[in-house]
Amino acid sequence: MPQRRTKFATQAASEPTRFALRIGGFSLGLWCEQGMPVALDPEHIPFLAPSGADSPCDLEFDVSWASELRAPLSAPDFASGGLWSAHRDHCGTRFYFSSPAFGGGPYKAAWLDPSFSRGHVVLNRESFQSHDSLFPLEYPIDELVLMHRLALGEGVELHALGLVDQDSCGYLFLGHSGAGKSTTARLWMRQPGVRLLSDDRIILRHQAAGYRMYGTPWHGDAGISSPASAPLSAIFFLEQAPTHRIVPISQPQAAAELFARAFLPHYVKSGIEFTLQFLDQLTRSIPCSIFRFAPTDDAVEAIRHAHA
Amino acid sequence: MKEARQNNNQANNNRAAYQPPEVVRVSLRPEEAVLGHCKTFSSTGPAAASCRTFFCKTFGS
Repeated sequence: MPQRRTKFATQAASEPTRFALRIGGFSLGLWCEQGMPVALDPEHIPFLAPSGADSPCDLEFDVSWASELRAPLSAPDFASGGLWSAHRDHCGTRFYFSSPAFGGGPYKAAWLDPSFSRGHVVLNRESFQSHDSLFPLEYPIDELVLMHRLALGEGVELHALGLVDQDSCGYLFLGHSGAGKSTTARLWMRQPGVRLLSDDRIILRHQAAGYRMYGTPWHGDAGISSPASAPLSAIFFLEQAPTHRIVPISQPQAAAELFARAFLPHYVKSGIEFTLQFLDQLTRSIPCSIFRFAPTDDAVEAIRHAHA
Repeated sequence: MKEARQNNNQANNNRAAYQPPEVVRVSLRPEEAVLGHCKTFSSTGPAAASCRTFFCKTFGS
């Protein structure tokens, strides 16, 4: 069973609930309708903004109930095949979330402006009537919104393990599911002075000082999620093998492999173009290699030796 | 004139070797690239994202 949610301190029923998170260098502020039983998932608690919830955030959301929620009759611009679909027009993007568990209609929706800085989350009251708490940005809204915001020219989210070694070198290990991200995370966890950011999802952004990787709440099997961030020093593509070996990879192929492990709105042309440019520049600036490895402790030394 | 020709030769020598274009196939997993799938069916992560609306831990991407 999942861990329990942490409810916010009881507030006056006549007042809206306000809180803010900080993920990937973005602040996300929420104003939730009065009386709504708002709670945080355990993974998000470290990402709660320690202060400044009253200040305007990079992304602001109003959250409210709806007694009825219907998806548009028109075909969506993108149907994920899973929980969500997207409808786009000049006013922005409207996401609708549905599941067989709730019947045919949407159980929630999120409407975002074109800049992905203002949004409105609407929850179908009937769908949540048996819930004593709820997190309005529950997966996949939180990740979906940030993925779209990043694709507007601000960075990229990668399927990766990110960590910082004791000498402050920041390593990114990329891989599809089953490639060994969580296994690699467990090997590094045993090392003193190593900080891990996430074993499944890393947000990467370019700043004046260079590329910076951010931990996220969305973790893998090793359960690692941290709000910390660090400069990026090297990129490795994980492949399991009987022995350790670091294999060079050409810059164009590294960019292509990164693209295949990036989360981005594939239905947004400008987002694709930006991400391709971003990954092209990234692979020209940061050394990239394939890391063929066996799940043994000396895999850590192999990386340190290669980067020394 | 001679100096200009020497500079030109030097610039040619410093050029990166021509690499013909090639097509490389990379593995893209749609069930991982698109968020919001069910981990039960796709066997992909994240492992414990907030799936509590459905009282399970089965969503992945």
